[in-house]
Amino acid sequence: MAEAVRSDDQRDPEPFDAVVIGGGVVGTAVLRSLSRSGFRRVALVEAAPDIGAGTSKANTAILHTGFDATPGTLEAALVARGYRLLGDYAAATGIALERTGAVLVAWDDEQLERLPSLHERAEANGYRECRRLSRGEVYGLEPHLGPGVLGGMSVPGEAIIDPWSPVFAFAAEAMRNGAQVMRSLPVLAITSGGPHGSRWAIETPSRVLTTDWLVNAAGLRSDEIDRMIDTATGRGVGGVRSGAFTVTPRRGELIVYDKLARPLVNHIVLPVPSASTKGVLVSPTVFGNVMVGPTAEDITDKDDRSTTAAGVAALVAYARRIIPDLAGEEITATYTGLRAATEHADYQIVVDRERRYACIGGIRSTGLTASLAIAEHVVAEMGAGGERSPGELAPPPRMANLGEATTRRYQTSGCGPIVCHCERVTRSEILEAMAGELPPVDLDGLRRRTRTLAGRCQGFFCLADVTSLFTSSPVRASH
Amino acid sequence: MVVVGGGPSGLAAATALRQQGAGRVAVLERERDAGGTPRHSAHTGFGVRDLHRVMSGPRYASTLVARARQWGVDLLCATTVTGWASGEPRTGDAIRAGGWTSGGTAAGDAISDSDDAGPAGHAPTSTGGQRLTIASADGPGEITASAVVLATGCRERPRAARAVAGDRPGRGVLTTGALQQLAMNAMTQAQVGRRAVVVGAEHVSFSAVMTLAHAGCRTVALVTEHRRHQTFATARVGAALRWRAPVHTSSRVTAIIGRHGTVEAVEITEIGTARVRRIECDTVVFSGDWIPDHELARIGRLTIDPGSRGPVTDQGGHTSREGVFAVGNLVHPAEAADVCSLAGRAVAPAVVAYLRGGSWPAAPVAIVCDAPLLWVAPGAITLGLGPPGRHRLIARVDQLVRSAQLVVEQDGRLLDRQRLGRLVPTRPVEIDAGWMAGVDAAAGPVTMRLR
Repeated sequence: MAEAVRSDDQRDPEPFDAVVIGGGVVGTAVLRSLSRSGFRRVALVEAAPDIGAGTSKANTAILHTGFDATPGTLEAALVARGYRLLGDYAAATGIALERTGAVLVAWDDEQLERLPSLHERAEANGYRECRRLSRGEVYGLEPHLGPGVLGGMSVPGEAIIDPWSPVFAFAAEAMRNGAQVMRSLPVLAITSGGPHGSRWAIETPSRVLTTDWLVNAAGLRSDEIDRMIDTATGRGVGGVRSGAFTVTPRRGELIVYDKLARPLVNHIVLPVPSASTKGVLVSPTVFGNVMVGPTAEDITDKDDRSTTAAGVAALVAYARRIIPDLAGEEITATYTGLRAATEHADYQIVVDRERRYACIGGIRSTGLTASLAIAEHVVAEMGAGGERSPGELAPPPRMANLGEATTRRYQTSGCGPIVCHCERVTRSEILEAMAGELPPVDLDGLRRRTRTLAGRCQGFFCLADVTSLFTSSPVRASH
Repeated sequence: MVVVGGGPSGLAAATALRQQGAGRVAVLERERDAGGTPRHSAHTGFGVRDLHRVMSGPRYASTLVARARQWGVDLLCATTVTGWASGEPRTGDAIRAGGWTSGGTAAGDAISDSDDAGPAGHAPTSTGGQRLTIASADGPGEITASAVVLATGCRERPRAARAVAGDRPGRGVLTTGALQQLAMNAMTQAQVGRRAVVVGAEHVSFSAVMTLAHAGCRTVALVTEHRRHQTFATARVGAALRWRAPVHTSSRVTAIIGRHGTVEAVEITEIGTARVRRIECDTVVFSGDWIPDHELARIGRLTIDPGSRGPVTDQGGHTSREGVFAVGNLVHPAEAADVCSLAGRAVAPAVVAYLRGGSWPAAPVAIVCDAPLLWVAPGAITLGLGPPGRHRLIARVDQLVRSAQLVVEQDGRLLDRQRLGRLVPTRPVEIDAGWMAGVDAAAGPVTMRLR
């Protein structure tokens, strides 16, 4: 297995062409692009026991058009490009995506007055589908909205997507192209000038990886990796630092309502953003729930992914104001994502060919949408030698469909018994996830691959069945 | 005839239907085995009121299953009912004008999932029957029945539904239901930790303490928002002596601490003083706080009682949708298994009458209850049906009432007064149904209040 520890051999004999640090949605997307490039030996290291288990598992699950991005920024360009790339990729791999569209709702005069400038901004970003809506049209689209709507704007291109599967799809495709993914491998130190003439040596608890190129996709810790690089290359002290940014985790709490609430919301319901915040949205999810969030709170602790009583209470109050009927519905999940915000508004992407170092920092809320475009951009800048011929490349992997809009496994002939009843996950889906390229290491990982235990009962009915399936899996037993 | 749910109420209903001459009766159970939650309750005390025997949960479950089989009930396990193929009925004027719209507390209107004011009309009639979509190991399918009995039971609200903040460790945050299954399964017993905090102090909470002890886990605290525990004094004293589990009253678990995959502690806050303390533990069990598993009832647009969140029924188990009955803990979350079994048995005569061409009650008289009564079941009365099972209604209160007198009235006319004595939240409040004969079909809702 890729993550097996080889205690007898502390140093890989052959250097990698490129190593990606960070197994989130951006890191795995870069790994995928690298695996399709002229680089032959590529790898990814992830500090946590599983990939996609940090910021990437706790986003708003929206495929953004980028209509409201700041025109001219790198983020605006990459979100617009990533929107198309990920939409196509989802179609090719079977990752659930629903083109619900969004409705931007103005609740007061100030918000109403901002609508024309937002419309102009969308046009400036090359997005021409927005349309102004009267109060009546807004209620026509969203009949369950609470009183007080003054007007709105439709953004028909906004879509909801399965937020978990892209990470696994990118990693699986990369692995089929020969890339390695190493989990539970935190980076302890980075030194410049490895053996065999390679550029970098990456020290981890169990081995030292050497590589020509180093890609920093460490998200919340991208600033720390960046500082290690600067120290290693002597630029940190008095010199010009490459990235020069500090990550301040921005806590975003979200709540997920029961599936019975799903008929209450047709589109992604966005508030009109103010100068300071994009605001809290109410959105259906591809899993058939309704999500409300995120809050925005700058914190200092990068490991603090707790929810707060105040945050959840604020979201509940907000949800009930926007959609009063939500008050009668149960909450299925609460969670927190930490956006990797920096002091800069734009993405902090620097590709330094001289040092052979690519830094991808400051990817805040739009990382999922932009992931494939960021990867394309970075790998092109790295000069990895263009894509290999299609005959040499693995086709996009077919992912298990986790979405409600298309056929789930339990809806197919010979699907076998359902184990997780709330989410209707079959035994066969669980066993396949356990036998995949990157099997889950815990029940949370199983949840992100299959939806098992993500439902309203939280294991009241099936926890023992799921746990025994998980612990008895032959793949697990070999770990 | 299709019964959805193979727990005590569903099995008992199916068995009684066969005993009373119903034709083909199928129980659709989504789990591998029928029997419901008693399958996972190792302790004794099951079967007293229905079978007049005392046995363990698993034994009780298998007895009910065997009796159903004996009487020719078809048990289809690993079969999930996913929805109504016969479409969503219109809840039109006829139902709105009748008793099916109200029920429940006086404060809130009954929940109706419908907002499309379609033309007046009922659900498909007995001639058309009920069509359900199902999912089994073979794949999707459909099943048709002259009538459906919903017996889908209830579940405990888990952590997220109670909006408890804090970290989200992947292990150690459970409900009693999940705990019982982990503890009874040799493969998973080791997943139960060593020091537990139990949220709740009702009967099921103390049952969780027993289960934890069985799995080698010590309960270091029970935490309840109420001013005292809600179980029998004997159980409370027993728990204190045997397991030395202190009960923190007027307190709430406000956060779970545990960043690294497992629970490290909980934070509990005393209501009133707002004093916060931390209790080290590796397991948190959220017990009680029942909610009906009402998905089919909701998507079938049955009128839902806002207090219990189960479908409103009359004393015959009729719901607002023609051809659909509801019974057991779906209607009264949560009663003991034997009470559910008796309720299942009691629904059979009304189902048989309907199968033989009887009409569907169009406008039952609603029962409306005032705080501190949370809900009462049945929540509606159809005249001429006779009393509900066990000649009793079941209710809940949301606070301790030391010496309660119940006043039952209709349009200002006194129907009954009953001494109910001491009422404890989460515990059954049983109301004698003798007054039902005096209800007037045309005098509006029956009101219940405590004095």
